[in-house]
Amino acid sequence: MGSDPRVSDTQIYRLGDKGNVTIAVTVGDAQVGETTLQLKGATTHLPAASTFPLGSADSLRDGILHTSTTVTDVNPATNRTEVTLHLAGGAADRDYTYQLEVADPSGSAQFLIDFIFV
Amino acid sequence: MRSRSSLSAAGTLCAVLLLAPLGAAAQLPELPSLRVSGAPAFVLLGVSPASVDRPSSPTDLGLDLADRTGVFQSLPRDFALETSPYWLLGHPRLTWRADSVRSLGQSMARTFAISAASAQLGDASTPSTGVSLGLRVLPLSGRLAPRTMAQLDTIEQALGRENELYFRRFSDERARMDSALTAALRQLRGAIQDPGTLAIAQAAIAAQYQGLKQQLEARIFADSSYRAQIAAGRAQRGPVIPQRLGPMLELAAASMWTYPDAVWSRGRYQRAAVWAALSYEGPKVTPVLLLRFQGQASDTLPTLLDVGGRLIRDGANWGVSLEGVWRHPLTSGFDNLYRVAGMFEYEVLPATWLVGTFGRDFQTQRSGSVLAQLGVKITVNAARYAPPEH
Repeated sequence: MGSDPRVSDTQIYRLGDKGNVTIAVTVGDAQVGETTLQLKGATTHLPAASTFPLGSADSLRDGILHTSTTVTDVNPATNRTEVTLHLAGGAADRDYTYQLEVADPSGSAQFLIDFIFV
Repeated sequence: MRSRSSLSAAGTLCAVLLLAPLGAAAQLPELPSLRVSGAPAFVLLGVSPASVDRPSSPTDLGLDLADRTGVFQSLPRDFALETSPYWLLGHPRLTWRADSVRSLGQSMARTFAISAASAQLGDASTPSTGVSLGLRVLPLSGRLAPRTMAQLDTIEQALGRENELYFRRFSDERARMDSALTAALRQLRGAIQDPGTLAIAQAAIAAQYQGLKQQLEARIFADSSYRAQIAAGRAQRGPVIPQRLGPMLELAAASMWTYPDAVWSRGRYQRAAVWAALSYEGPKVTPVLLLRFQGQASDTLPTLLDVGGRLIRDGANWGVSLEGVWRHPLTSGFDNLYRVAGMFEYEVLPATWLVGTFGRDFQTQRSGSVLAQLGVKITVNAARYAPPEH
């Protein structure tokens, strides 16, 4: 919603000559969240605790992956929300970690992270 | 959600209209008071602070303490702090599913909390500062209830719908931005051979794209229709209060000192307490065993060990329980005391319970030591026996 804390970022992910690229997203701090991907116009809900295949390096090159992860605070011990996006299969495996704090218990935060494949 | 008999809890806000109060008021502590109801330091100091500092990072904690103590030069005044060291740091790999069950060590780390408080206890002529420090930990904190897990699964699906709504807004415009980005990147690749120069140019395009993306996001989040749909979805699901089932063991301790005129050298130990609560949070039967030790610096007040227990069996609109409290003074000259009572409750109207109690109070020779009460209780808060926070 409009008042949710939000982070927006665009990262460049370098591909290798070959290989299949995958993404896995972890919502940490024992909070609940969901990640939806959009690649080449197709929208996919990322299953929890899964590594999702995005495609070969050649099919991804010069393209962009949009991700939206929305997290709701359900942990009584902290209002912190934390999301790690793990990309593998490119020139190097990389983790991208983002953190936001919601103002109130049960509040939500949104992480809008895009990856440009080069 | 299955409503629970209010017997399954202790500490509810309730109004009891006694129709036939035959028993004398018990002088032994009521069972709920044997458990630490808040941060141990606050309980021992006898304060209910209106605001409690709960720093969310080590930096916050350091700044908080420095601010409250005049950069560690003086005792903090009217101060209340509670913090869990584990949660001061982020845990990016800890999912809620991984936290649904905990080993002994994990449970202790994730529930360990420190509390500290100070309050002005004296009056204008004899000012005195009370300072208290407390610890709390749950070596056993059960497992996440299946109902809670189902609720969290449902929330995940709802958040997925929110994400989908986000991608649906201005999707044509996003597709045009994607095409323009791809075309620009391909043009660069064809025009620039040097990898270093190419990387710099790609980074510049990514930054330009990010600027356009933020403009698009601003339009999406300002869109009243989008906001209304998100708000409607959230209004339907309401907050989740995670419930854990199974064995629970809560240990807490606190100690208190007083400092007349806030002079360090005149400080002296005042009292200390240790609490233990062992329970099994089950869907039908909840046994609870509570223990409280209270030590006093005073010569006139005894050092006490209170032990209490309760066995609860409840249904959707009824409940029966048996409870007992035993007080063992550890100071000579005081007698052991105990109290046993059986209770039943039946919900005659929503939130209105017919309640009955029968048992013996602690001094059986006294008039009114038979506990026999029948009344009507109106519950304001359904959860009377609050399981420990976890």
